[in-house]
Amino acid sequence: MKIKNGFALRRFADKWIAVSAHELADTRNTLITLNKTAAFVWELLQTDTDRASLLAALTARFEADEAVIAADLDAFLQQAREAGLLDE
Amino acid sequence: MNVYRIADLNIACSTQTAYAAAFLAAYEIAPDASVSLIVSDVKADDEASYLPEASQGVREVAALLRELARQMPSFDRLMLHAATVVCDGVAYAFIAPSGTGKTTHATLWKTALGERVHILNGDKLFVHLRDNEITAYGNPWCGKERLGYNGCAPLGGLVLLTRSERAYAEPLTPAQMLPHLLCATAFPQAQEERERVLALLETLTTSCPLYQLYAPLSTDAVKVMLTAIGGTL
Repeated sequence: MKIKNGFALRRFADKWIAVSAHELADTRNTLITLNKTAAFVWELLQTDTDRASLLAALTARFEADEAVIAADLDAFLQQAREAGLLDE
Repeated sequence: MNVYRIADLNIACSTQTAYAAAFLAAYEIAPDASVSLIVSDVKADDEASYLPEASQGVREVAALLRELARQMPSFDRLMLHAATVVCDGVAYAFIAPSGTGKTTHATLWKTALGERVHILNGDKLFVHLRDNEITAYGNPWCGKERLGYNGCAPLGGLVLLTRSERAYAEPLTPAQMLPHLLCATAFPQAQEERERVLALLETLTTSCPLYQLYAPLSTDAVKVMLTAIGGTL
C-alpha cells in the first residue's frame, strides 16, 4: 500500500500538513493535518509498503507497547482508507 | 501604462475599460515612478463564467485582482478575502465564507465604537509579511458596498467569523486556521508557488493572534472580540 501521489508533506507551525497537488475545491481531502507520528507513517507510505513493515518501523522509532502502536496504526490506516488516500 | 501604489508596491497596469481606470484612480501615482511589478493583458473574458451578469469593466477589475493576487506572494504580500477594521490604530481582519456577514460585522464595529474605528476594506485585504511585522493595506477591491480607504495599519489579529446566537471568542492554532485561510486566499496550482504561499501563511499565523469569533448580528460580538484582544469599549 502507498499514499496516493500528489501530496506534499511539510511543516506548518507546530504541525505537519499534507497538501494535495490538485485543486482545492474541497479542503477536506486536500489539506490534511498530521501529528508527528502520523507524519512519520505518511513519509513511509510515500513508497509502497505493508502493515508489518510500518509496524516494525514504528516500534523501532517510538517507545511504546507494540499493541498500542498497532492499534494507533490501524486507526490511521482506516482513516486514510476511508478518505480514499491509499493505493492498495 | 499607469502606475498605482498598492500595498506599498508600485504596480504598472494598463486598463482596458473606463470602469477599471476609475476603479483604480485613488491609487494612481506619477507615471515615472519605478515599478516593482506589471499587471497587463489580463483576460477579462475569462471571468465571464464567475460573473455572467457583470459588465466588461467589472470583469476586468476581477481579472486584475486575480493577476495581482497571483504575483504578490513573490513580494511577500498576500491577498485575503476578509473584512478589515482598524480600531485604535490596529487592524483586525475577519475571514469567513461568503454570505456569513463579514462586512456587516465590520460595520457593527463602527456602530459600537464610532470614531475609534475605520473600515480599512470591507471585502479584500492585502497583507505585507515581514519577520516581525505584518501590515494590513487597504486596496481598490472593497466589495459591492465600496467600504474602504487607501491606508494601512499593523495587523493585530486574524479572526474566523462564525454566525451564532451567542457571542464568544476562542483562540485558534495556526493549523486550525490554515484550512480557512486557504479558502480565503488565491491558492496557486504550481507546487513552487504553493510552497511560497504556505510559507507566508505560516508567517501570518505564527506572528499574529488567531481567534474564532462566534458572532450574532449585534454589537455584543464587538464587545466580546474587543475583550479578547485586550481592549475596552
